[in-house]
Amino acid sequence: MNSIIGYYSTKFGELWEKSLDDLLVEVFEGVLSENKLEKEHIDAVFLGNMLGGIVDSSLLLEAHIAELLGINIPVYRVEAACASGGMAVQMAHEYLLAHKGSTVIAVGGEKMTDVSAEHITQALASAASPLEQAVGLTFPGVYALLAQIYLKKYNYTEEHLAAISVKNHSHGVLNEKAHFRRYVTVDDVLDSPYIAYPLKVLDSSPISDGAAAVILTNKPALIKSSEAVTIKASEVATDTISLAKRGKLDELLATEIAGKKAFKTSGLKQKDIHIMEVHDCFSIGEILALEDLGFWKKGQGGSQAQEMVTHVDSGSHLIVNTSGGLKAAGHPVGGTGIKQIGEIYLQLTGKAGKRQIKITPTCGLAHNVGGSGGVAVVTILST
Amino acid sequence: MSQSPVRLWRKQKQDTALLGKTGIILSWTEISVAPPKFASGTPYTVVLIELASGERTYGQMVEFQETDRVIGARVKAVYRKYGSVEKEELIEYGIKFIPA
Repeated sequence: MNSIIGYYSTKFGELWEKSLDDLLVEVFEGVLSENKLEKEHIDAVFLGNMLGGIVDSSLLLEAHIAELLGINIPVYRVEAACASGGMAVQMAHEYLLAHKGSTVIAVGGEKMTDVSAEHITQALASAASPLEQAVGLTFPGVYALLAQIYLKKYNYTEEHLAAISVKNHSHGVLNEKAHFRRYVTVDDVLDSPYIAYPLKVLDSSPISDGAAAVILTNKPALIKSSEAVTIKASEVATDTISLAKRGKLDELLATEIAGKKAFKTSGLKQKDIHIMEVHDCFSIGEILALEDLGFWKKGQGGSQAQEMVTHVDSGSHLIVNTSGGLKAAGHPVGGTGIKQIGEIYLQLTGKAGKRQIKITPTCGLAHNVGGSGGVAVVTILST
Repeated sequence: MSQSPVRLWRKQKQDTALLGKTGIILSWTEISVAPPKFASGTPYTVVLIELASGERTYGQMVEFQETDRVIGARVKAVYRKYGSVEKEELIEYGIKFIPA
């Protein structure tokens, strides 16, 4: 059985003193030293990064890593836009299924604050289709089209979306590594400027720097001597890059398919999941995620969000985005998927500190999306 | 980013097939933060359209009143300039939508 035995993350935020290389080295060395392992114990590295080639003119990150860390083992770079981190863990998991007695690191990171908002907007838009880019649709713009359809079809308002940000900011206050550690109110969200109508600044995850890493192993002795969680499922699904080519526009089909596969592989049901990190790159994203993963009925997400039924203080058996989500914890795109899985790891091992949920969780799920739903990765972990 | 003339040439062959066609707005957004090429035009509206043929496409919407920019409203494809370019670059044209 493949297990995760360690997690380390940098602080997420505007880290002006740190380069992408600095961030990756910090988490690689951090996760090894916290687990009292040496780089010689690692058989391969899976690296999630989206924008290195565009923002940093850095490709062949495999060799960057080899140089920085003084290693000659295989390094595989994975690019799946905002799902690069989740995909790196997924591929690490597949590698372990094929290689008994191995230990690997999945690391993800992004450096986003070296360039202007306009340039990072353009870089992120490279995860949209050529026509979407050609007509000036930005990444928030594509999600805004989805949000408009959802709000109209199910008769909700921007206030329903705002509740997601309010909840996730209140979780982020408890996370010492979060980009934003302050409360926001529904009025704060509604009063914030529009980025792409109906989505506002406070509906949107920020531009963040940061990196995160997890260690995965299938060595029984190492699992036994570590605080380990089991990977019950790690599944990927894809869908059209263009919104215009999709059948239904009030859901992300890739999420639905990856979720169904993950529940089937794990033999678990939605009611077994106590803790989740879902992809709230925009407020509408969390609502669609809970519906498409089968936790809420289609169309009920708006009212469920407004009631904040997944808040850490809700008393619910399912708490969502204790890290603060992408919204408050920050969204260094290549690092996010690793952070999500790391947060579930911390909760399942009782190491989440002030944001540890009240019930003792036995199963958790991480949901990572690339583009506007062109890729989804769903990972289920258990104690 | 400078435009590849060949890429534009390929795109414009597809654009002309849409000229004059009408469709329905499935969704719309108004972009306030845009890439450099479009930054001088903010805010601008982008619509997701379903054509009579069932085909879906996108374009900016122009020359409209607020009451025209609603889901379900009918629009028509026209040819317009897209984005700003450096003085040595090709001017890009493409499909935009106006109320029908």
